[in-house]
Amino acid sequence: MPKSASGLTRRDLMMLAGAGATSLALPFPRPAFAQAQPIKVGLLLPYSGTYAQLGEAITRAMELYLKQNGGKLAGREVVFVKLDDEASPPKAPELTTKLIEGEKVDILTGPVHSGVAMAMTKIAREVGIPTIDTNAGANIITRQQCAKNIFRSSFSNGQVGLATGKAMLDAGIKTAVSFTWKYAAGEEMVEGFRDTFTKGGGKVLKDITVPFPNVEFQAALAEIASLKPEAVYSFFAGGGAAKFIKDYASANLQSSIPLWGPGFLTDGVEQAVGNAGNGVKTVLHYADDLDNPENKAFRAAFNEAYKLYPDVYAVQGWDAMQLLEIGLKGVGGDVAKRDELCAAMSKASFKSPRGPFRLSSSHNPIQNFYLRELKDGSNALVKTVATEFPDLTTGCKLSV
Amino acid sequence: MLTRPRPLVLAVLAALLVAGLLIPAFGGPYAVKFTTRFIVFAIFVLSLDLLIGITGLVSFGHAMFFALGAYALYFVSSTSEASNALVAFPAAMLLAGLVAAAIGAVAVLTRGFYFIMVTLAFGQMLFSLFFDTKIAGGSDGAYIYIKPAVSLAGVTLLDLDHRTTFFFVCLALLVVVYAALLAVARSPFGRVLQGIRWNEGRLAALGFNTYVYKLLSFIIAGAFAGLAGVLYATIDGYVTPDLFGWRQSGIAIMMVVLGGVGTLFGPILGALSFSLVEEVLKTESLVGPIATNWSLALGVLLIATVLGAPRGIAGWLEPKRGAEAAAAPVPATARERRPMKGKAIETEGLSRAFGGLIAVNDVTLRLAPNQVHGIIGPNGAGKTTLINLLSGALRSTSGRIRLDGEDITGWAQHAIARRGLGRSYQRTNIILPFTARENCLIAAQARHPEALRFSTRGYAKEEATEAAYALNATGLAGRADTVAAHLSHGEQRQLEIAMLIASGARLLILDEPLGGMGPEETGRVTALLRDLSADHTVILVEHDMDAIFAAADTLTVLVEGRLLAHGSPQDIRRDPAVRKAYLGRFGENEAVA
Amino acid sequence: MELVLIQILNGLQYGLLIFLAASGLTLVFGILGIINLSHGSFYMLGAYLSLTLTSYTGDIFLSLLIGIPLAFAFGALIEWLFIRHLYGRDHLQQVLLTFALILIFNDLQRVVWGTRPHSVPIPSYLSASVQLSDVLSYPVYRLAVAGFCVLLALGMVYVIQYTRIGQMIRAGESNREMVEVLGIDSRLLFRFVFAAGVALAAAAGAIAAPIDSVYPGVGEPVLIISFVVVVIGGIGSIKGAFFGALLIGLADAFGKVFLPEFASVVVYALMAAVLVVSPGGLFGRA
Repeated sequence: MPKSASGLTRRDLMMLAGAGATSLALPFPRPAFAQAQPIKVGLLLPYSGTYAQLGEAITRAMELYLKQNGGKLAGREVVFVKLDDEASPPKAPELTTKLIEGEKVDILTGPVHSGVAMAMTKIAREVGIPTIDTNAGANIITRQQCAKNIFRSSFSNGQVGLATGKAMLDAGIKTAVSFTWKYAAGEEMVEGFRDTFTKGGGKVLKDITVPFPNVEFQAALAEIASLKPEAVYSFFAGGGAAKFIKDYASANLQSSIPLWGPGFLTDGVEQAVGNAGNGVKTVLHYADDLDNPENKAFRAAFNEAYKLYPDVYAVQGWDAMQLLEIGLKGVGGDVAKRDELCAAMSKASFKSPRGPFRLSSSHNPIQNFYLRELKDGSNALVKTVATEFPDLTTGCKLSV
Repeated sequence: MLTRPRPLVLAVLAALLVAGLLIPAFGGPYAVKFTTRFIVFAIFVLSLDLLIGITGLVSFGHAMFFALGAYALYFVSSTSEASNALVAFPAAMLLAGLVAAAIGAVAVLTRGFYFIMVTLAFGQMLFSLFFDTKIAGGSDGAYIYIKPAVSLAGVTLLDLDHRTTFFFVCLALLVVVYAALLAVARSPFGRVLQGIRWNEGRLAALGFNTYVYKLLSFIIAGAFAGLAGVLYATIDGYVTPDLFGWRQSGIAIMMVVLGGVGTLFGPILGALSFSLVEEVLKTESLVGPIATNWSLALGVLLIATVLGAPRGIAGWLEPKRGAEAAAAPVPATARERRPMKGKAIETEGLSRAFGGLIAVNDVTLRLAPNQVHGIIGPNGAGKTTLINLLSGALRSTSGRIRLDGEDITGWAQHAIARRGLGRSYQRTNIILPFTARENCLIAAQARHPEALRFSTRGYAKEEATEAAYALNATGLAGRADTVAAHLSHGEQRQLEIAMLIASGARLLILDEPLGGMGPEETGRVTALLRDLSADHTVILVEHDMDAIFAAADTLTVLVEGRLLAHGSPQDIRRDPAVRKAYLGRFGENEAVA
Repeated sequence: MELVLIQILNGLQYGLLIFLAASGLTLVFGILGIINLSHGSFYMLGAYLSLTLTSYTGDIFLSLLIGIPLAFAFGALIEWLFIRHLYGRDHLQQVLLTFALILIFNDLQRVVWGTRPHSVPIPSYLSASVQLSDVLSYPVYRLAVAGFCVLLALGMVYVIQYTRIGQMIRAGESNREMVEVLGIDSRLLFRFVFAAGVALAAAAGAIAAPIDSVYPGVGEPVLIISFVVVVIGGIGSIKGAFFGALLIGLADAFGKVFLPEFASVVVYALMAAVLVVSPGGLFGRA
């Protein structure tokens, strides 16, 4: 390469200056907010990809709650900082840091995906920021890795499994096959189910799995048919759940081997499965037609705001706000008092659209579980199968 | 060939480095963490550029080595005390390097699009392994509870849990990795890698075992990706199987292409701009409602970059390598002429069949050293197949080949080349993006083709001398620093011969070296071939009858794969069988001319 | 034994469906020399088109009649806007641009159709099931999908073997320079082939929609599996894509039953094995 005397041209130097300027501008220091500023609540949720619908439902409920309270909680103005987590665990540490340190949020909420939650809660634990998990069900978050500043407004995978196993025993089922995606959420839900089901005298003939997020179920259906259990306990979610329910129905298995599962099997896909889902029985901490005033009011308000009815994810977002409000009231809106705020939240007890809500020593909800049956595109409440039902607190050293 | 970065580039890198050094002082904790993560990705994409840009192996599974490095930290960490970075970091590189060796051994057998897909497949396989099984926490990922520390003899020197300390460690490692990879790419080893990117066949024909070179490149890149991975895991102490996923590999490719393939500094800028753009687009307080559609905006920006700046950011900083006609002087008498004995080659009942067609049929031939041997025959006579058999580009169906008495039947092409056989091709086979001198230098390097040569020391002078000698001999000295793609057709064909001379081959097999040349050039090259026979054996396939009769000491006539005649040009001219079967087609007069 | 027969049926049906998606990919790669990462997005487009059109027409097959030409036109537009700038360019730039298209299409999908999973009704005349064993039956619609795929495959064979455009495609398949030599307007040929590739992917997405339900990112798994099929079959080879797809379909169906621990590894291991034995795929020219 020929070299000029200086090696640099004028254009080169200008570009050089530009490069230097860019590198110094990074990454956007923002002013810290004084006490008079609004409380910032970070929402680390999926707004794109397969879980986007869940992220949207949680966000809408939270925004509705805030709107009903005139944009204020405990007398302080509250603003949301939304960040798309893409349901991508490798990005989760980065995005969590962005919310906590870049956006300087006071409270952290989200996510949907358990892998994202693993990363998010780890950082939150280290930093000590009050955090509410609005969906992700990984057991570890409120078991071994519980922390005084980490709360859950949703459920743990094991808890839902435990409740469903109980419901199936109550229905007189003695043999079952479990079928789920081969990943942590599926395995934890099966583990919980197996726990209560076998302790109560039931027998699990086989645990069948397909790789996540594979949706080719025919091979497994053939195997289920050959095992002839009294029922199938199965967990899928979203598009995969819709496809499984339809495949199950079109294999004509539903009449001979009824399909059971945690509520996520049918939630959000009621319309997508149509008639194919008739008769699918699921257990969840919420049912659309719960007969309590909180639920009726919540559904009416949500429908008025968004022209659609809320689902369980929306309820979890709504209750995250209730929980937060109690915490903020406990410290008079002073988010700097993190310990007191967390202490107030851990003692919270309120009426949720899902029924009574309070927290266990490991900060997982103690809540009712309901048996629902899918009929013509909606989950109809059958009965309450467990009242004020706690999750295990295995490995958690927190005490009330 | 990759040159030392020009001053502008060094200045930009220095400016970035200074900016980086200032960040802990002025940027606040978030800026430090953001920059740390960017640096880690820069190390990762640098290692990918060694594969993509230097060796030309487009890996769509490079994230697997990053992920392995990250998981290595998980494996060496305990819940009670900090692991030692001096153990953990090399362990990560070792794990990633070992897996790269195993996977590379298979993957490097394929090329092009197939290589892309094989690496993708291996990445997905490892992803499934970590996602489906409990070997390391399963699908939700796993925690590293205590971050590593740098300790020596039980004394903790650096606590990597301290954010600024770790930042400086990463920054230092980035500088080291960049310098190391630049040195590797510019070393004799790296020159061969660059040659492989553009023309693997040529490098193999020169005697380089390209499989070994590609595999080593794959392992080195894997090990450095592992280093980036262990740094990533140190930042937040969380690892997830999704690190193995094809999206991670895809994003790394984006960063490399965006920055400028094969420049090494480009990918650093690519990683920086990609991280910054994404950061900006996702920040609602900066871009408003666009944040909701950040991926749309990112997509549009990427497309604009591909269409507007095909060479990436590096393209703005570095001019395209053009025809640089002004050559640095080549010493006229680089070395004394040393008469050498050429290599003799003989075949015995050599045959090669393609399905039912027997292209070379039972050829027994003995070609003496230090002579010019012409091979002639009509189209389809099996001339090119014969020289492909001699050079090892094709395996024979039956028969033996001996080079100076040594049986080389069935040897790999590069192994035969190392015994002193060099060949040129019908279609000019040189490394087009390199200058004439660089082509000859890489050929001269084939005199010592062992792969792990990271230093030019020892042979640099010899190679420069041999290259200069070859350039002089072929009359290309004045064009030494012209990029081969800009040479005329005739010059390119001469450059190929120059490469063979520089490589130290003692038996030259030239496939139509006069093809497409004008009368003047033909005369010059014919004289060159005669001259070469003083220290080489020359085998020539040529259609120019006048030239080959003038140049050759012996002629071999092939017809339909069989040896029809062998002898001096005079004998062949008079041979009635030859006249009937072959020369007759050109007409009596021409044949006797 | 019964299980084996059922798995063969499953494998073939699944394989035929991936063949549709993979055939478009292999054509585009073989003839245009373009690595198209956004192929899965066109599968998704087909699924959403069938969702919208079926809600108007009430019948999936009517929607296919309208949707496939729409997808074809869309493909031609995308070729004109973006892809034609990539011919002869580095694979890496193709990867970058088509990756960017994924980002864009995903976002547009969210804006136009939202994030809820949807379902496309199976036409009533195909909603029955065939009894296979005392408890298990096989849905007729799946058989219809298999039949539809076979029909399309036969149609492709006809077009490629007996029409002028097919002649050009064959010329391009064996040697891209040949197209220029034959004096064919390669710009039009390329546009046609790309559009046809998009239409094939969309057809696969549309016909599978009633079985698969329609949700954001529905095409992504299809992309990866299609690449595997293309590589196993040999780049540019329709025949290779056909047999590769059936092989993958069967390997997947049997892998899940007999090697459940390694079900997700089976197809990739198969691909690696094929490439070690035959580095250019089963029917490749390289």
